[in-house]
Amino acid sequence: MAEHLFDPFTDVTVDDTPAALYELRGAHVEYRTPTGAVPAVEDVSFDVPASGVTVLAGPSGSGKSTLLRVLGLIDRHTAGSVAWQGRDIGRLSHRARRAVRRSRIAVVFQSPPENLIGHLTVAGNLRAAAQSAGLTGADPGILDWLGIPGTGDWRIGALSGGQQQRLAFGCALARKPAVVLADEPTSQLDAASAALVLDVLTRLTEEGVAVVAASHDDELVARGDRVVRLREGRVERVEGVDR
Amino acid sequence: MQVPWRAAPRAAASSPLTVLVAFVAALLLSFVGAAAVLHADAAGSAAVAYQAGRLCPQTVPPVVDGNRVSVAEANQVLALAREQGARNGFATMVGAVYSPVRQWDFNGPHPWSQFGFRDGAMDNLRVLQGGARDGLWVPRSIAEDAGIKVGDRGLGGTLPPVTAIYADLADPVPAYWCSEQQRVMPNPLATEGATAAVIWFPDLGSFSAAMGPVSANAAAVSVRFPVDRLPATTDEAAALVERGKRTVDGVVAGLRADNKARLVSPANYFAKPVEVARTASGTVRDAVLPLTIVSLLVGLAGVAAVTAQWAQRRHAELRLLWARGAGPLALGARAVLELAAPLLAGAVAGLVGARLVLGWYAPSTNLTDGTGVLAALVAGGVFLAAIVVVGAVTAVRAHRTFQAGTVRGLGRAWRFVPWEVLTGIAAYLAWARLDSKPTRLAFGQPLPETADAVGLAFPLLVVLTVALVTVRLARWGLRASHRVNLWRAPAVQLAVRRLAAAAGSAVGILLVGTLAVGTLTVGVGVADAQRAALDTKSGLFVGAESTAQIPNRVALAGLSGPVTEHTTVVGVVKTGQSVILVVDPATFTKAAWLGDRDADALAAQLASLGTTGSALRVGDTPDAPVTIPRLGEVRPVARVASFPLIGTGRGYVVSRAALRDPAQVDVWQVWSNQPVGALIRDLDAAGVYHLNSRSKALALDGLPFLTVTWTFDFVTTLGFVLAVVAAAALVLAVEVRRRQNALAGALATRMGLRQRTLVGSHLTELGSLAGVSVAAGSAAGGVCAAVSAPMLDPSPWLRPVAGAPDLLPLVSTTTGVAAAVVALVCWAAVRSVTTARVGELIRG
Repeated sequence: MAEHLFDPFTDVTVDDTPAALYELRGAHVEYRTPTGAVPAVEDVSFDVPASGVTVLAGPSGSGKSTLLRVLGLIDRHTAGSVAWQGRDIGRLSHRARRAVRRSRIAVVFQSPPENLIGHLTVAGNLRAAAQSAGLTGADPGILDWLGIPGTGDWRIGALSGGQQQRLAFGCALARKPAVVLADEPTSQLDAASAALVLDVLTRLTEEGVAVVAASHDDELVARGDRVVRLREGRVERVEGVDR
Repeated sequence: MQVPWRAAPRAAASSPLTVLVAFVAALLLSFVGAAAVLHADAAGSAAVAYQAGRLCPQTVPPVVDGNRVSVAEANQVLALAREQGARNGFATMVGAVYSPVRQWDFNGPHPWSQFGFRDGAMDNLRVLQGGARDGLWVPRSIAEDAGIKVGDRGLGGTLPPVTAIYADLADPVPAYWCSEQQRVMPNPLATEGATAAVIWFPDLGSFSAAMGPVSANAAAVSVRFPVDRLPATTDEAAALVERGKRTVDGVVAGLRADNKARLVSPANYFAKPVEVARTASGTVRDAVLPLTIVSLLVGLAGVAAVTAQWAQRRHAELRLLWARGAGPLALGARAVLELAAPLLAGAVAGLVGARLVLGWYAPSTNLTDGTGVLAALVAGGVFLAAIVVVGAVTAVRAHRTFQAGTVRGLGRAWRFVPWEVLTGIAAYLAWARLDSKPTRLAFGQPLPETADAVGLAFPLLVVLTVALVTVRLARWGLRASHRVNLWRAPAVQLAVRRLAAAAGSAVGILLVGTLAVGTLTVGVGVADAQRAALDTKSGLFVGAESTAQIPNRVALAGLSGPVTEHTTVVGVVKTGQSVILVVDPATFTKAAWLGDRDADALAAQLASLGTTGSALRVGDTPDAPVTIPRLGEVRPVARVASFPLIGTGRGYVVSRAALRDPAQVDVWQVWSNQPVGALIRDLDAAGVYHLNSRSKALALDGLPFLTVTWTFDFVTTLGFVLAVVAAAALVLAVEVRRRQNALAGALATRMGLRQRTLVGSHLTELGSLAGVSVAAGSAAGGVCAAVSAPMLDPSPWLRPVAGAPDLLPLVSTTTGVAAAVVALVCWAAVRSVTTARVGELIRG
């Protein structure tokens, strides 16, 4: 069978989506340091389904964020295979990886302000997020959906940390991605704000978007349809496989 | 265009400091680029003006002269010239015809005289008696010698009557007469009958009618095409020369048709100066090019640093955009869109500034047509280069940070390139070029018209090499400082650690600072040395600010009146091998050009010569009594290396009181410490006849010196710009790390660091950067100026050769300014620590 060259623009369609969004098999990730290579993730194998909330759980330094960056096509794994919708992403060019990120993946970073463009308004951020995925604009109902109605003209600095983080998920939703990758989305929020963010996260899955979150927040872990427990860069166990 | 890119220009408002720095960087870049273009062209204009100033204004345009022609032929030449002049845009023509000099009969007396007619002559003579314009105008000297009065008629009554007696023209003649000075002013030293004053006819017709029959083929004709405004730029001068060439070619062609082309000798005296001016302009341009390029590279490096700072500030947004699929090039475009406006504004401001302050840094404010456009193109090119740098730095940084996962790259490789070796080799080659220049005037060797561009680059390349070596050593030193423990002096230890932690910006400041101080020093040093050399050579060459020859009887009787207040009378005797000056010790030092000679000491030395034939010997004259023809024996009692007028040649100086017979002196001159105009005015007021006036200002062709001076004046300008960049970089380096320093300093003071140690650490940190820059730059610049000043002397055979300049005032000023900048920046750094709120800083 002739090798099929991966074209993210034509090959990646919702219709093609297999049951597993990501398939990791023996994935290794190393970081180069002045004193040599340091393994961050070793021999990790698990699947991420195309729906529901998948939580990468574990203590600090267990490799959660590293794995999330690999899944977000931000970092490259150094060995093993990581497949996106059935295709190995290890050998994709920078351009192809950007195309996948642009059209199919949304990333929410840990710090709320880092998910937004500070000099734009709330509405401007939503529009910017939608445009980045090739869409003309964001759904006007998103702010209501996020629980921050009427803030379209607000500057980002006028929002609280929790509101900013919810808006970050709103921006992610505005891009209509296949998956939202969230790195410790509640770690910098108080309990009330974190609960609102978790609600948003749950509702994202109801919109048909898969969510992968790295967290050691028990509340978030509890909401996970699938929980991948990590320790020292290795998968300790995967919970909820049969749920 | 997506929102983040569309909103980018407005986003700039969120970081005013970055905008300001980008604006200033572009301003300086654009200023340097545009100023280099404008300065080089202005140098050409200044060269044109300088050379036009040395010529008689009427001989700047083309001239046609003819000797040994008949009056009819002279008329033909004048008619042809008038026609060709009008055809080629010369609105005014001043034609003249002269009869031969003869002892023309004037009813008995036969004074040596000549008759002439010149367009407008009667408007430019001072009438003493009469004044009607329908008769002959006779100079007073002839009128007095021959007893001619108003109403007399010469040549047996065939000439028109004398209607005016006018004042003889005196040296220096007014501008209208300058091209005719040799003809209309009798030269008492010339053979009798070779020259004579002119009796002017009122019109060409009467001259032709009266003189045509008697002049045979011994008349002379001169044609001038005076212009209202002398050319101010090389292009204007070239256009004038070209028009002139067409005009004289037309005249010659017209005469050739009658086989009379041999009658005239057309000349275009300004053709060569135009060529020389263009060469001077090119020399200045080529000489400042290396430093200009280095300055532009420094400026672009500054833009790169600003961009890196911007990228650091916008890191979160760039990462977000990248995570959403934007590529490095798109992120580069994002940076460009945000910083383009301040860069453009800066570039425009730099261009406008370079034009507005042209008079401050350039030798002329006159520019060739199109130079402004060229400067704008250069400024535009610089702006585009800055834009490319902004885009490329952001794109590369985004690629390394987000895609490649490393911030290491080319920067490390560039450090291994031995730049200082490359510039050192270039400096050696430039030095070899300078060293190969002859220091003696050899037979057949042309005098230099301008300086050598490659040679001029020598001092700059040395300064650049020293700056690069300093940076290399500093980098090694900072790297090695990790192993050094200086906690016995905590302020020093803290300063060294801070420097090592920000080694990149530290060596950058060091490079720009050393380059700035070095170029300032070498620029001021060499320019001053050349100015001083020209002044000294001119002063020694002429002897005083101005001089004029006076009759022996006047010199022996002595001057009187106001002229004595600024003059001395000097006798000059030239023998085959030496020059003997006869001076008046009482007044000599008052009027002569002494340079840096101690006037009182010289006066005492001259006074000590007494009346016994004692003499100062000058140069390498033998230390033994010598017999001077007509003056007798002189006995050297002291030696000086040089003396006014004698220069560094061989000669003796004797007191006038020692002369047995002052009448034996060949020539007597009056020397003045005033400009030639004042000297002539006072001599005229005293009724003293004079000739051969000379001025120190015009004694030598100073263009080669001026070319060097103009070049290094611009180097000084660049040095000033670099100094501003260095000071701004120092401020920014502290400002960028303000938060980090404030936090570290505030925590350290809470842990017991004394305020004195804190201040000391900042003073040591900033002071070491400024101190090394000033020390290395001043040393390199000073040594370089001292070494290269004599080598850059365009006329080393005319002694004395340019010497090492006195740079102490400049170095003192540089040190003072550097200390002030350090103190200011240190105050800001310490203040940010003392006013810091640690809680807020930690929370970030």
